Amino acid sequence: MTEPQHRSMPPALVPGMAEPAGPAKPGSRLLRTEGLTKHFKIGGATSRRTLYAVEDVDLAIGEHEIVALAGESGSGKSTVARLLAKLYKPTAGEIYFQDKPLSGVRGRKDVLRYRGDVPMVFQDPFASINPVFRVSHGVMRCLKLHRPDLSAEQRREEAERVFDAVGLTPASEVLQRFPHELSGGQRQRVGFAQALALRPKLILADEPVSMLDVSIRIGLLNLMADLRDTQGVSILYITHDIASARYVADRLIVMYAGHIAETGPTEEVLSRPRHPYTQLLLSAVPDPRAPLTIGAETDRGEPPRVIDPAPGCLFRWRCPLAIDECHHVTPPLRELLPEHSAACHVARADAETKAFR
Amino acid sequence: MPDDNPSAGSAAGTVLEVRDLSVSYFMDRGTTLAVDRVSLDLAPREFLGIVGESGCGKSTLLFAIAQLLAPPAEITSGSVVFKGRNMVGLTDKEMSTVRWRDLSVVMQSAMNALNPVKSIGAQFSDAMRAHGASKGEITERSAEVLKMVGIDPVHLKSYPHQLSGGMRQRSMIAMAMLFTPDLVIMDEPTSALDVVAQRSLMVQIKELQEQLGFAIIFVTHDMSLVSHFSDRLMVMYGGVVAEFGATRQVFDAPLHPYSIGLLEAFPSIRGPRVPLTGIPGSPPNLASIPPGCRFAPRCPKVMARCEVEPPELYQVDGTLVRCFLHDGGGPRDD
Amino acid sequence: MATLQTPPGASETGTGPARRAGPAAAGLPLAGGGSIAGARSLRRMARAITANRKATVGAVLLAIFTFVALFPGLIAHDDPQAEIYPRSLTPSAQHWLGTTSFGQDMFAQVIWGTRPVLLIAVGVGLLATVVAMLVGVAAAYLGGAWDGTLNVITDVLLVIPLFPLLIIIGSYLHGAGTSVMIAVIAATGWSYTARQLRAQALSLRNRDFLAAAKVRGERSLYVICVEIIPTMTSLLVAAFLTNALYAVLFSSSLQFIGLGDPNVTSWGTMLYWAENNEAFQTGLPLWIIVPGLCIVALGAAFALLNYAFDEIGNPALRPVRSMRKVRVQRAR
Repeated sequence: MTEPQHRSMPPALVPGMAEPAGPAKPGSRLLRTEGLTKHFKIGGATSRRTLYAVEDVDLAIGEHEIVALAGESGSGKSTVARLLAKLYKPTAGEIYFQDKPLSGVRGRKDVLRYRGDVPMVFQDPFASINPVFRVSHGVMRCLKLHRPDLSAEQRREEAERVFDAVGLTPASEVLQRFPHELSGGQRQRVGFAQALALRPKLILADEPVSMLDVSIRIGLLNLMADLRDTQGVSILYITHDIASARYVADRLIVMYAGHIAETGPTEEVLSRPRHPYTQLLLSAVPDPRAPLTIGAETDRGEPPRVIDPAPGCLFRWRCPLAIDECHHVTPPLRELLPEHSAACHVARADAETKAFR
Repeated sequence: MPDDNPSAGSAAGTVLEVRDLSVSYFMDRGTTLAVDRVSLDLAPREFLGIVGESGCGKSTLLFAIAQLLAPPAEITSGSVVFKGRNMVGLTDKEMSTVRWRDLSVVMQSAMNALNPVKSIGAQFSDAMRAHGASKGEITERSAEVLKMVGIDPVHLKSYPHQLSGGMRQRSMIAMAMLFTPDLVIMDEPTSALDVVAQRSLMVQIKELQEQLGFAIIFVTHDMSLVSHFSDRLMVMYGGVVAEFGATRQVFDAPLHPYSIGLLEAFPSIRGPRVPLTGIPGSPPNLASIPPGCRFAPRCPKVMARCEVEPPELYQVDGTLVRCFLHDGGGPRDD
Repeated sequence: MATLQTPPGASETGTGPARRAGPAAAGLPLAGGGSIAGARSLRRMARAITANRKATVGAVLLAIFTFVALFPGLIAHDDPQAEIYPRSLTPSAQHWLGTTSFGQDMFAQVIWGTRPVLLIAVGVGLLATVVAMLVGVAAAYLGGAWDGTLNVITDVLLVIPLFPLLIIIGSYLHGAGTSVMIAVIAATGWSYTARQLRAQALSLRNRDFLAAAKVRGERSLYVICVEIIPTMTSLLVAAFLTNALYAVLFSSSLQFIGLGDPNVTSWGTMLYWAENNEAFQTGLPLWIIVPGLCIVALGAAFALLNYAFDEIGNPALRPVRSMRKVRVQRAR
């Protein structure tokens, strides 16, 4: 069986270079969170240990922009996604969608409307589609639930339209396939098609390319940029790969151990990182085009699992610049430069942070 | 570094010589040719990186070299000469003397390869006892290899689930070091790790190699990972070698359109932001291989000839490349 | 050490830090065209049955018994209950198995006795499996207090020795008909397969496609019925076969000790009457042997079919036959 040739996205759509990705205008915040916190109880029924998965997160996503939420595993980024998708309930803090609090969204109709505005695309192309049904199943269900005004015929047409929009052509033929007949890249495109069918405002993409081969990732990243440009959709792109975040995102949020470490426009954060952790991440990214710099002090640490933590910066054990204050006071997120904030006691607006190179 | 024949290591004492190795999977619905006549030589202390997408046969090649294939996979032709001895066709008993002592394997996911109900120390001692080490030797060496990879020997009593992902991978590597083998084969040992842990693990591996002097075959889908560590790089596609040469050369001046496409599929952290296209289409179905070059359906520089005739490996400046664009160099001799 | 079992290229993707979906991992479920699928699985089940010798035997046996149960009149023309013949005859041309000590044609009894047994087997199979499915899957998907409560109920039933329990219940309902027996056996026997189905549902619970269904707004009941259960088809069939087997054995045992309906002719009641009339001592061994063999054969049919479904559900159990065939053909 030969693979269908689905077109890769045209290179003319230069991610982020067409319009300058300036700061989103105030009041056009599509979604924002205030003090978003999620704790999980771990251990048995009688245990009192708490995992602080997400702690005091303030973030904002505007219209027509791609925001990357980057961090290692255990940083809380996936939990944030699931909180925004209303799969978990926040322990504290609030999420505002179009300036309305999410905690007020109750009742089947309101919840359904929110789910139609903020769908999610999952990481694992093999596990995110039900293997029993044809790939049209998910899209048709989405349409049935969220666009009841459409007739069956119109639903069919809409399904084909979104499959075309994500590059799965010929749409009518691909819709009849079973998931195991598609490649991983194609299955991820099905995920995006399902999200598109809802006519969403914001797509939560949880590591959509991590499990794909490198040469296929670019196709999907280009697709995401295209969706932002032509379909008017914002995307929260969750990833551990800074390089792909740079490629596709307008703004970057770096998370560490449940907290936001640094946030700002992508280019700005990556060229002038203020938080030592951001620097560490940057230094660890292998870049074949750059000359080799194996530092003798290559960090051997790993992000902590935050269980019942004492106050203080969670990065202090791995940070070469830690001072006394770092051990006692949890650093708040401070705006150091316009639209560029970092949660670090040592970071300065004007000076470079020289932690890792 | 060899000049004329890049697939040959130094004449005196190559650790590994693979010649025309082919592996097929015999299934009810047909035969799949997973690896098609791959040859390579490995010198002592050499770091060879094998890269390619899923389905290119690199893992199968690795398992074939380590003699770990099980039905329905089978080596159908070729030889794997390790330290002068052809391993293809050796019985399990004969292989077991070679395994771990001279040749060890590091798997992709430590959680899958480590026994979850045994402590790390127990697994080390299992491996050592299989080669007849005494209790004293076992305790001493186990602590020694853990220290080599930067883990406190107190963790010999730990179970795999009590260690973090990075520590698990490093204990896998420590286990591979138990007998200071001459060749260590690694199948994507870092792919389950985060970028910072990946980096530190790669550095660790390189340090160990320089310290203990073993050769490494490192299989990965992520080209950039090996770019700074490997001596030579082999790019595989659809079960055959697409390009094979000195790492720096392959990176700075890739010859095969696939290698070029692969390199360009990496968005850069530094330097200007440019739009990238990746490689359209998907890898070929190895159960029904089309005639001609396997990359032809996806190749931006495809010619009429490519769809009819499969190209041989041609030599260009010390690099082997399987592409008609470079057939002026003449086919390599064997 | 891990060994590769499936060819690369069967899955065309999948590499990444969290979990690598490489050939060994992802190829396995894909190689069989999806090991736990729903509607298409019927075709695949048929193929699996013919491919597996044990299962083919089981299927043939079951087909024979089903035919006999549906059309007993075509095969045995006598009324099994009629005590019209000379008693205790040995096998002859008119009475292939002889007659009982009441003068009934034994062959007719065996043939007509098939239907009640099969009815009970299928009835219990379906009922017990449905209950097990609801309990098991609900417990797994809803979790929390639901899971805890349902587990306690399941475990209690699992621990109680079933046959004594059946005897006690049966003695209260002594002589009540087939449907009561079906209900009783199903009500006591669902717990074993409920455990299995719960374990399977648990392993599916965190799959992304269920989260995806929730995120697009599906209700819990929908997710359980439409998304989870169809992916468990082969396990449900295996549960049905297990419960049917259990029903055959237990119902026959209950009838053997006299707790069945004496007006119904089935293999179990035949055994009861044979035992009460000292069949072995009076030279009528076939009265005990033949119904006994039939019980064994029907039970074996279900058990053998179960093999096939084990292999569909778990590709690791599939025997790799092709290598041997190829080896023989190729000259080395």
